[in-house]
Amino acid sequence: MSASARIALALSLAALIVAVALWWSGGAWQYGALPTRGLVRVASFAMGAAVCIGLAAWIKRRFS
Amino acid sequence: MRRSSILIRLFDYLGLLFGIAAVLAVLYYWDPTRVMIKRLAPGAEARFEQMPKGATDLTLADLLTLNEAAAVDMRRRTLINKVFGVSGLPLDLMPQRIIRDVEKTPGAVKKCLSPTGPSLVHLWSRMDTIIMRGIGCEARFYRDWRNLAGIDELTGHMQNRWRNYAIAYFRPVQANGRLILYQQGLAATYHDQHRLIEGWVAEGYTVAAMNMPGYGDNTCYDLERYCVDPPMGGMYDKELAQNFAPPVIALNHAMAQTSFEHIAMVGVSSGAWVTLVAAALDPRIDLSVPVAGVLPLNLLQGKEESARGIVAGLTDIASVLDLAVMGADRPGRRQIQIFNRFDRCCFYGPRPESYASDLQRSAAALGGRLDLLFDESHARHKISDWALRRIMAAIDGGAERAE
Repeated sequence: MSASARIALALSLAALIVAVALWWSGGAWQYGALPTRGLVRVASFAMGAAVCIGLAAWIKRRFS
Repeated sequence: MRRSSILIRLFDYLGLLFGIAAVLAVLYYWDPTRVMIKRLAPGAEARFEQMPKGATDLTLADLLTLNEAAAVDMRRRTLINKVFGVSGLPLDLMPQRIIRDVEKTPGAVKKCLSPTGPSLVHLWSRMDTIIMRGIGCEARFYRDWRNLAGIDELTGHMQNRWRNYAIAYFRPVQANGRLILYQQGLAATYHDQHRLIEGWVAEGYTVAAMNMPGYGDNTCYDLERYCVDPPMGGMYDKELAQNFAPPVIALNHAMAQTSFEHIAMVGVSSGAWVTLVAAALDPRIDLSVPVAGVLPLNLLQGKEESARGIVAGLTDIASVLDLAVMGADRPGRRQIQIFNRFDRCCFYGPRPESYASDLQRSAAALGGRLDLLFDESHARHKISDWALRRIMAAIDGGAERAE
């Protein structure tokens, strides 16, 4: 795994963990300190990062 | 370079961009960092810190005219006459229909428009269905709340197949002798505040939750459920009554069930305006808390202007500031106005500072207490934990309790 992929994974995982913790501690709802909509947005970006890194790894395995 | 290695690098960098976006999204959505972003944005100082021109030109002598109890009583009678068409508060006005325990037996309802439950509704439902959520459809999601004995629906309608109201009356198993009237604002229903109401019920408060006219159950969308009885008609057949009768009806109903040690009313956004007027009309409300709303009419700007319609015809009798004083007009009565200083929607900035001390002095001269608080903990249009802690301290300590 490349350095940029490792950084991307670390960032998205950290962001997701922090977002879930903030959302949960704020009551896990739309009017909490981190709204449900925000959690979904963070999760979508984190998932996007995971998909991209996964695709890069798959291409590497498949063609190299 | 081979095409595969270009693709690998492309996806790696795209992944990095997504990772950075995830971090930025946390910063954008989390209240404390959102406030920082708001404060650093271009034009933030003019919007949130500086007093606009009109605020410094307020002629407070014209807006704060109540300085003795007799004047307050006279003004209240005139207001009641304007809203209800009678000289005294209609203490015998009761709901036309009561549906008991709607969480267990909701009765027949027209199609539920947002059947996703309170947790997911803002993600999966369209706005036009979110604002139509009715208690007959939603109550089942509240069935397992701690300390909930039942939810009663109090309904009635004022004009033939038009202008109805529906109040959700949450009864706790272990009641603490305190009643909270909750008034939601526009573009939402009280169902959006389910965590707030759930917390209140768990602590033993009896809660009567209300929507603005046209929202939630306050439409004749479900004609069979809400608008087939003979209408109340007569003096209630007007817009002012539709706005301001429900808090009186909820209170009359509550007092007929049991006596309450304290009665508080909390309203957010447009609900803050209803709270302001309800407290001015009804001295039984000993603590009123308008949140994220309520400014003198000549300080309104942009989308805040829509609030004029709520108090149209009333501010000729009592200015917005006089209405506030009337809600805190004697010992034991208190009003706390909470403003979200960095509110992304409306009623933001320091405008209330231009009249706060005069307003507080006017209420104090009558023996009441009026506080203006600025919530700087978030940049949204909501009741925050910061505000809720202060509201609950005031409710639990009674109207006189200091911060």
